[in-house]
Amino acid sequence: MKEPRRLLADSQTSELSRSLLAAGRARREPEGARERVWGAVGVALAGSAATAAATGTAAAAGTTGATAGAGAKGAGVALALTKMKLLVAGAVIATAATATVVAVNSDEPVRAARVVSAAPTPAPATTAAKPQPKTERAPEAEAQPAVAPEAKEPKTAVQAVSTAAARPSAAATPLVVIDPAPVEVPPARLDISDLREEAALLQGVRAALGRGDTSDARAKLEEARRRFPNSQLGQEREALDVRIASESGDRTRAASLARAFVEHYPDSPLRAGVESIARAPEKL
Amino acid sequence: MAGAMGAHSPTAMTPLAIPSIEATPPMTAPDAATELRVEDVYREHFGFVWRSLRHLGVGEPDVEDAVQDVFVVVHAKLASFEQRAQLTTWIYGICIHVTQARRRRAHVRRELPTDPRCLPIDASQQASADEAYERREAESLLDGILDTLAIEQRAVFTLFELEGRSCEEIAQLCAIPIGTVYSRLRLAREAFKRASARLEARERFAGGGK
Repeated sequence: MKEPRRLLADSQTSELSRSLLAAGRARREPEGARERVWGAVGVALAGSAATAAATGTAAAAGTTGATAGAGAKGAGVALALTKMKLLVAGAVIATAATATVVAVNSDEPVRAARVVSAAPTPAPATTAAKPQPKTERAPEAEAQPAVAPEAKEPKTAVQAVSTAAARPSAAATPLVVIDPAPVEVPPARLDISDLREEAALLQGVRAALGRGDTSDARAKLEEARRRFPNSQLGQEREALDVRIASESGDRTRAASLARAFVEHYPDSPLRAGVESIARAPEKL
Repeated sequence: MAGAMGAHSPTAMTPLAIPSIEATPPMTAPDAATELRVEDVYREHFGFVWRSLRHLGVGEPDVEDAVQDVFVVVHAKLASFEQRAQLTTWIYGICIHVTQARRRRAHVRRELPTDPRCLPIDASQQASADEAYERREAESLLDGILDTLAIEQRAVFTLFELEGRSCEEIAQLCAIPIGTVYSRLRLAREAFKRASARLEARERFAGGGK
């Protein structure tokens, strides 16, 4: 069958339809979104280590075979904690000292975790974890949930958190109950990775550029470079450096930095933007 | 407008054939996929994920949160993913699942589509506030029409008309036969045209629009 002509390319398409489709086609993420979200993902993933340590205590206590590791569950729990902070502004976190963390089958990617705040009922004895050395990690074993996942339809971590936020006293069938004692990192203060700080710094660079303050942008970028020599946002940082040079009027430096960028990151999705900045003082 | 856009009858729809997160990615031994790093996937696919979520119906205030959800899932399952050629298919499947999950719980909390015209204007991206407002208004109208489509049709329509994908690519992205792509696209376009015509008629009736 012949490929249909796109409505935007069809002369019969009305002007209004064209304008709507053109608006949809032009959709792009707002400036800084890439760093903001990556920072948030980093929080979730970095937090998984702490959560893994916590669930590891449960596994070590021989309560369940649930795994932590870098899998969906750990990340999901961390995500859940992150989202909790965002959604309920710490209200649930504040009760986290008595929170029950319930993990579900890690084989189900979206059904990452469920967090039930301040469960009013005592934790089931069969799944209660005993305090263990805090540095211990969960084994990378296959998850064998003690209880089958309850939901047939997919449930996201966020969805679970939303449910928890909406019904703070909701009870659930727990698979792993983490006693508050062995949790090394209090949920209200996750051991957030450098990623988040670096992302915040780079957002500061963008904000300074937005104000036209290239000196401040430069200072912040240098601070990011100094503090995070092993940057996980290296491409974004260097792309901003090109922009700073361009917006400072130093076209030679901008061109030089752009060349270095392309050499370093030939396949970068930021490449086109960097090259256009080096050609003209445009923003990323 | 509702009448014109009621073309998609739930009974007329074929069963949901959107790729499942569980089923789509070929699984293999973990060591075969260690080259894939989530940060690389993120860099390469962030824009696609962001746009896909918006096109599928995640409101602008929530889209960054939804993108985060997608990449947390990607991270969780990446180690068991093998065939890079289908990575986009897999990621798109995750986008659909995340969108559907958020829709299901939209009534639980505030997460309802927000009129993009009410959002703050990102001055860095827009030549002028007027232009930004007009674009947002057009986006809002587009979203209003897209919201009336079933997600299967919406996915095909937006991939074809907004992302510029070929029908063959869409068949792969949505894991459906190409004939299904054509039929969904046809239905979605008919609904879109009808809705657009109604909007135009309304504007004419109101005295020539803005």
